[in-house]
Amino acid sequence: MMRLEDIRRQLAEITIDDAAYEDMQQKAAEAATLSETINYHYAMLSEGRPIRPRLGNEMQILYMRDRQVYSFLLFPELLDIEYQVAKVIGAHYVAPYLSGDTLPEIVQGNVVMCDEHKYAFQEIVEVDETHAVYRNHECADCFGLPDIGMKLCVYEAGTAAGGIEERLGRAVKVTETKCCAHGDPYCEFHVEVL
Amino acid sequence: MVDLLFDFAYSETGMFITSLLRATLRMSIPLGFAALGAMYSERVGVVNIGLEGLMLFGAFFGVAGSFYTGSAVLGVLIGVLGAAVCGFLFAVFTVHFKADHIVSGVAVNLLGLGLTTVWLSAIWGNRGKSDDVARIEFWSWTAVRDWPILGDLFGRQTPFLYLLVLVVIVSWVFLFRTRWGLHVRGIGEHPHAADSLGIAVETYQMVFVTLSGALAGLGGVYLSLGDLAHFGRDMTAGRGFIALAANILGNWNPVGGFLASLLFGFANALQMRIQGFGIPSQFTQMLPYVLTIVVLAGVVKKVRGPAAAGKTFERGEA
Ligand SMILES: [Zn+2]
Repeated sequence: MMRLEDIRRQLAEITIDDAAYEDMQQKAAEAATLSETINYHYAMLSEGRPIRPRLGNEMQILYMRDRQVYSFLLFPELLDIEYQVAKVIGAHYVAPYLSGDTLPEIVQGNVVMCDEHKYAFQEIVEVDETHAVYRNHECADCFGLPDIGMKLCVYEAGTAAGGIEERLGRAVKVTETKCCAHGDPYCEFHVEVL
Repeated sequence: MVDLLFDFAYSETGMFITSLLRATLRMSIPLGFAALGAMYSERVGVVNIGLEGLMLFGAFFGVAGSFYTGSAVLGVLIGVLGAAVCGFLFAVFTVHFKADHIVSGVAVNLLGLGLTTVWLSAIWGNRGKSDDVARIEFWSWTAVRDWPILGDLFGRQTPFLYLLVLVVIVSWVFLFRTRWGLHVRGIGEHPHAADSLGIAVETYQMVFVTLSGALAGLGGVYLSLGDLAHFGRDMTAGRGFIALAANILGNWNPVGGFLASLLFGFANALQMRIQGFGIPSQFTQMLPYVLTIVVLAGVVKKVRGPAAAGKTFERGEA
């Protein structure tokens, strides 16, 4: 395990500060063809057209989960990095699905999107203009997993943060406070307007 | 037989029902405590529409207690005590000074929201939510953990649920099987008759309105220290009013109030789950409130609360 721990120590040194995040956004913006294509795919998805001609848009969820769970089990240091990556994704692809201008309206919009895309079903526990708490039930990433002592839904936290931030026009932090992979019956997220 | 049970438990329907029931239990707990609070208060003749505010005070003092002592259990005690003190002050106004119950209750609600918001920003410098504090963890019950359905419902469950069931049973026994319970019921029906029998009506009213505050506070503490681990502004979100309805639907009976709380909890749990069936969430989220109105409209004519509830008691005035 010495070698793994070495690598983890190196990963732990990576911090993504505001400047790094700006660079990430810039890099994503430069990949214009990519984002145009993905936007086009999202449009196809909502029109019910298949992105893959023969197999369509549905597939079982375990492949994606296995990849995530093992990435984070082996390298928990990736959680912070992937949160920031997911924020970039959220700013691009979640924001267009959200509506409203205030945090309560936007969080409500997120429920509707979640409903359409079936990555969970959401419960808003509390929301005002400064913060929100919501729960994802039957989360696609972690529902049914045993307690491995990890809160691993950083992609949900990050995409929500990116989407809300873009929509609200203010910096936002989303933290996962409960997770099925942490022995909880659902995932819980705290949204903070900074 | 056992195989059939397992098959059902792990079928799509079985899992849907289990998760629905689990959410029902979770959402009934704060209503159940507050409905008991409503019951005790009205049973001694004081209508307590301040439950919402008392729940907020409980939720707040609980978090403040946990924050300053670092102990969630002490937090619960401080939360209940804080709400009891607020309930006592409400009793001083309504019982001792004979203030109007409704006006005083509205005042409690306004103060509950206002003061907890001010204190929230004074202590944590945040107008929305407090820092995270130590919370009451789930109890693991390993014996049932691997059982179908029961394991999901009770394998890991908050101690607040067991406490609620205990308080419901004790309340029922107290109210219908003890002399003091008989006094309480008598005061709600006919305080002057009770007074002429030498029962200290005002003392009973002070004690049970204070208890009403403590129980509503316990419902609030569950929200802030059992369900979450922080205080959020207006986190009770109207539950105090739904609890009033639950008490009426439950016919001023502890067991009835508990069952009514389960029904309202069920409506809330169902509301979340029918989102996925293409019904706009604006409609589904109305479900618990629509149920409250329908139930009250249908039931209010059929049930009768304590005859003297809401009327100020003056000695020798009957
Ligand atoms: Zn999770």
